[in-house]
Amino acid sequence: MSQQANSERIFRLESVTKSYPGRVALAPLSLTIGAGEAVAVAGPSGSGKTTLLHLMAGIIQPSAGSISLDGQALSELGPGRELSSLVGVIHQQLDLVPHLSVVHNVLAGRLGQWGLLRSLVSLVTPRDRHLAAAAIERVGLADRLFERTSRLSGGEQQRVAIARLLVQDPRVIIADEPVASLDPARATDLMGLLSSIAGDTGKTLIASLHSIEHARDYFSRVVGLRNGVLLFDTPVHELSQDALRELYELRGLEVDVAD
Amino acid sequence: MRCGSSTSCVDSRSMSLISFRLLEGRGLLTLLLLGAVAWSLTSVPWSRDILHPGGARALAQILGAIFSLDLSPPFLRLAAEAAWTTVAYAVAGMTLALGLGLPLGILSSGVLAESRWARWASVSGVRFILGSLRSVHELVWAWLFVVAIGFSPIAAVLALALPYSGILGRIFAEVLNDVRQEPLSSLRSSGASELKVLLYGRLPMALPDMASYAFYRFECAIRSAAIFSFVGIAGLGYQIQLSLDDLLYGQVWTLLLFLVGLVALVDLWSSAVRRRLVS
Amino acid sequence: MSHKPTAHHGARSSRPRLDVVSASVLGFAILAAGSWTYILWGGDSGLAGLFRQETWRGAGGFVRDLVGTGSSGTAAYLEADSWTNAARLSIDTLAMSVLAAGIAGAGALLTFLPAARNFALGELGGARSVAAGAPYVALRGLFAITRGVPELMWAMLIIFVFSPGVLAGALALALHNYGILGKLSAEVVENLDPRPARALRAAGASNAQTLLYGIIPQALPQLLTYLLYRWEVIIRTTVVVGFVAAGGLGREFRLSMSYLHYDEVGLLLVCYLVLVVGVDLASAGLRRLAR
Repeated sequence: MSQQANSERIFRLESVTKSYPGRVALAPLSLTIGAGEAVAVAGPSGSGKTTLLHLMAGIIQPSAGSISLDGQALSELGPGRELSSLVGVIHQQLDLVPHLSVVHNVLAGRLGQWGLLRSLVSLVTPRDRHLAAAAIERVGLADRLFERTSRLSGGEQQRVAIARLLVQDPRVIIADEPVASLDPARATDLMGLLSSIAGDTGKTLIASLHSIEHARDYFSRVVGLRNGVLLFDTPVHELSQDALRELYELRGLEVDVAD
Repeated sequence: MRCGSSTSCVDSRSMSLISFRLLEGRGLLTLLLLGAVAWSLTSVPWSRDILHPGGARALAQILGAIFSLDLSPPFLRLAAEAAWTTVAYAVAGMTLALGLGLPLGILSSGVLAESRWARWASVSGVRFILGSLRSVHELVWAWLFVVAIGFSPIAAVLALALPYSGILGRIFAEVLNDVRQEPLSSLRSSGASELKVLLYGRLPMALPDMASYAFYRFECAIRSAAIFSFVGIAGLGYQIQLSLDDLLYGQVWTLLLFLVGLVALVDLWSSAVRRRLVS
Repeated sequence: MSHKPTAHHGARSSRPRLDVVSASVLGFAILAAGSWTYILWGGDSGLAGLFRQETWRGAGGFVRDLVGTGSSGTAAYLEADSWTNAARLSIDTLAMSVLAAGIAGAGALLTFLPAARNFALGELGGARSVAAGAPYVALRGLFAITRGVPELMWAMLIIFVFSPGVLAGALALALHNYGILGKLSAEVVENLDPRPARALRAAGASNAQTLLYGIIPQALPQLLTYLLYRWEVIIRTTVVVGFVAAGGLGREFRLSMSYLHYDEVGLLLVCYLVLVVGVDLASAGLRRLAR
């Protein structure tokens, strides 16, 4: 963690836990993330990756501990404009409205900024069209702007979701398994796109990943989670085979917090 | 005690399987329904004069008249005009019902409420209003309106719109609540308020189902508008009543064919639309 | 959907096409514009009356009479006689609705099988034949006609033959609902899983056995559920049919209306609402048994 000591800190999690009745989803966890970093969260399914990302996105509240985002307590940021200008979220594929045309799904990224009247008018004649056009071009779907979203393939829909994030323009992109439902070739394309967009615009990218390969290629830092416990937090080039084996091993006994 | 689940009363079951089976679920339901129908039969005063004196002759006359339809051009024009009046009332009533039912449906779905208390108040309050609107049959509404504001097309339109908005509102609320949740939470994380989530997520996703149901109701509205005649409102039903009063059964059948044809036409239209919307 | 064809397709379909749905919505909008024009400008619409003070005064007086605070006083609400009379009429109305549902249900139960297309085509067992095709066409036609004519209109016709009363009203309601139930239950059979019936035939079951063990048990719960739903509609309509068929609350409603006894009308409306709510609750409870 020494390497980003100088950069501005965007996320600071202190002893954050999340528990549900009868189950601890996330054991006390502390983490700092610098602005502009690309952090991969790795771990087997059920390890608490999604819980961690949802906590950071303000979708769920921690049971204990505190999360600060850009120096402010996350719990005090109002939903809507304030939070949406800081954090944008992308899920696995299910987050577009299939019945709307692509342009409206992209412009939904502006809903935090727009007033109600503007939102209403935009459904008839799209507002801020240049923003939508630029974003959709950036993700390589320039000619599909007025098509019904349901006609697009899974990978294309995921690109539209990225275009929405571009229009929303948050400082942090949180991506929960963004490529889980795509075939390997398309998954690599999309990961590359997401990472180059974050790099070009200086956004912080935090993504949970199933495959460690993508982490090696597109991220500078890897956080390993297992059974809700932080296993390691290391620059990607220092990631050892031992750490990986421990992370994905089925035995799963006597897990240490390797920090 | 009736045996509810299969595991709770294994002992008694094994003792008299059949008699217990009869008293649960469908067996009980069948017995109840048969009992109810038997009871209802006792309330009919069975006697010889349950048939109208001369009823058989009247029936033969009515049925015979099917072969002597009144197809004279002036009468056909009259029938067509009456059919158009019925359609106009049905369509106007439907548009008003949609205009009332959509906001009421949104309010009673509780999707706009930010707090739990506001949600409870909006859901139960508006649901009560919707329930009262649709409890009363449209013809009773029509009669009340005719007495309150007089015979007029507006009375017909209002009488149709009120109960139909109650029905549409209830269904719209269900559909709005049943849409997939993931796109909605994604919109919220883009900073959308619940009202904007409604505009950009719930409504676009619910629209096909809502339109499908509205077209089905349109079909019913035609039938409802036709019977408004009974309280003196113009249309096909009014002409049928006039012809019946004059014992002109040939005209009655012509008008009935217009009505059946009209309903069948709208039926075909609405099922064609709904097939597309659902797939 | 593969990647390349959609990209190609996308360039063309970025312009909205006029499909059945948008054409129908457009058609309905034109119809709506025409209807409102006809109503508002095709003669006296009565809309102007809505903005006249005397209309509102009249309507207000009517509502006060209904709830028993108007000029005709609270007579109906305070007299024990009018309550017992209304209760008796409510029971008649309930009986009429049950009888109607019973007749319609029995009729549908007897005829829904031959009206199912897959049965007529012999897909559920039995041979495909012209003999099965004729009942199919005839029954579907019968459903369309009985369903197409509203209950009230059936009532107007039926009182030529039957004396006005509970039976005449129930028959009128039953005819219309028979058409609806018949169509719905035939569709249930058409959507049935054909495999159990086929397996039974393969095991050597006769036609009748296939029906009894393979088809009717599958279709019956859905049919009962529809019947209970229709009962909820029937109870609302029973009053209306009573206007002409002269049974139950409807007849009294009509009489009180014509004698301008609006306090009695109000009392009858209260009974009507109690019946409607009661039947809704009963039907919901019974539907749970049907599952």
